[in-house]
Amino acid sequence: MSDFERKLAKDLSRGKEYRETYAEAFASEYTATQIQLQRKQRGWTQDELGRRIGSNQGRISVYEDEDYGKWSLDTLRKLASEFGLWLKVSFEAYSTLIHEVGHFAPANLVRSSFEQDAELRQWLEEDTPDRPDAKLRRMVERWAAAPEPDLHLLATWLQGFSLPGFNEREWTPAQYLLDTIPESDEKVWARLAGGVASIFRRDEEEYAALLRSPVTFRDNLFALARSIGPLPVIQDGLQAVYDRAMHRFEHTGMTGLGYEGDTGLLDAMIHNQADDRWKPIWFAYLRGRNRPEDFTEPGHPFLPGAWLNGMRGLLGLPKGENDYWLDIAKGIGDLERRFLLYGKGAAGSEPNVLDEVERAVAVVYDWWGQPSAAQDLMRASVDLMKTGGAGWSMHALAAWAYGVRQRAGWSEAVCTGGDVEQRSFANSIAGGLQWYRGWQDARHRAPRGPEVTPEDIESFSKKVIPIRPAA
Amino acid sequence: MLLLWDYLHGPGRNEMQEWAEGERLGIRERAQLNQKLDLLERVGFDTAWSLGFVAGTAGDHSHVYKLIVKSQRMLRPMFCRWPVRMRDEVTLLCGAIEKDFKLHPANAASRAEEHRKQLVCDISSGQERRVPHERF
Repeated sequence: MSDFERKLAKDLSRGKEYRETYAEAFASEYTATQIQLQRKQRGWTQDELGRRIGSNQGRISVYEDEDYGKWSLDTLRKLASEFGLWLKVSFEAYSTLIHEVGHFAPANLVRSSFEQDAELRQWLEEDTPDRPDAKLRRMVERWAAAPEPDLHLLATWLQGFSLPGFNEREWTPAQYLLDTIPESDEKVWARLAGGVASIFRRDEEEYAALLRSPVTFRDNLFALARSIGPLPVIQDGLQAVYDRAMHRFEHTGMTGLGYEGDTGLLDAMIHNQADDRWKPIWFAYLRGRNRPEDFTEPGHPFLPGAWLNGMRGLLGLPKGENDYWLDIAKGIGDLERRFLLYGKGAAGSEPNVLDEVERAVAVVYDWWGQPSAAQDLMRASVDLMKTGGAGWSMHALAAWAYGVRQRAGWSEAVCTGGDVEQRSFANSIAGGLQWYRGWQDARHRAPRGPEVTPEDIESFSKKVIPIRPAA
Repeated sequence: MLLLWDYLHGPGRNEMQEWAEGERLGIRERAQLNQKLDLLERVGFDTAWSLGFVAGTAGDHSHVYKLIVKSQRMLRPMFCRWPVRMRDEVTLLCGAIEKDFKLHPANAASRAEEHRKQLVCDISSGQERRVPHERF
């Protein structure tokens, strides 16, 4: 028995009037909170619940007031029926009051409707024992088939609860769901995306009381969003989260999501761009905000990280857009100019322009993982000059060439296409590597990757200007 | 679970107990007050806030909150989440009763704020101006 239980037991012995008032107050709190939580679990407003039971918003507000205490059995039955639950009225000993108060937690008050009741389903399916992942798959399919999927159940899964066979040492809840539900099950994934978006649209303050592990929930919600997308519905949901976070940040200096939440939001945004509305955010990362001369300054008021995230953001833009590669080339150009403009162009400076542009190009190549990315990027850098904007200078070209040289087989794969284009690529690699080698020499410092040798440069120069065999 | 404390306005002088005596809180009021405080202790500040039985105070006292207890009278004990561990502690600073949307005493919020500042000041100088909460 805990100190609290002992204390309360002693308290209830003060007299009949005291304990009856205490019990009445607790029972009212319990009932009002349960009504409020069932409603929120189902994502209904007070107005909606009012209409469903043939009443109105004002009455629901009264029913959810813990000090009302005058619910009729008829009203409670109507509410239970609408929630898909049954109503239990029970006489209890005072020891159970102590137990109930001691274990009171809003998350324990939510109940699944008949259709979503996992335990009940388990009994119905007991005759056909299944592997846990098959069970989960069926559960999620049933969830998705409901006319209004239960958002609270989705939130429960994302906290790692009620997932058959889930082992938190092996998976995260989001990974487990991703592994279990086949990608081909498009209807289920569409409903999951809709569910995730609906949760995003609601302010966490509205349903915080339903969460047992808010941090795990947030991590997995963003992780799932990141993996499902990019979809317009998720992008709109993330926009709602972003707008609320910005509003809170402007008023309180905090987003209310915590550092992990801010990181999760950023990652989910990067991977969920169905349109280019966030492009200015990514360019602001690359160009620097209030103090572009400070390269450690976060690239956004509350989203974490510096310029590298701007590059990732541009890479996450929808590829269908005509300007996709042009924007990436422009981003690299902006970054190069920023370093040059703010005194980081000398070989000895720290950080220095070539190292950083090289990192940016590496992010691009790693993101796409194939030599065609290098070709697209170079074509875009040429287009950049054609459009009259500021093109790349030699640092970006050197970084581009060095990135190609570093990746096995890319040099050959890049120099393909028509004769003119082949020569143009070879020319760019040769020129870039020449510049890179000069830079290496000037710095007297070992490169991070393989050293560029005169033979490297020569092999590409030969492709540009064929050397005639000696007569 | 939260730790509840009571403010002391002199050696052995528990502000909240003196308020309860002064207002002659009856058995029903004490039971309802204890029930709400038990709940606050069990669920913590954030959940209590989202369930709506704690609220902020108007004016400049952004660190002072009130517990909402609807009894025969509208009891509004004032508290802060400080002073030592923000998330785990609540200190009851002074008592108040709300009538016609006005607090009695009228200066309850500023009095609570004064007590809070006193607490912070005394704790930083190594004194304790609080005791573990005594039930009403």
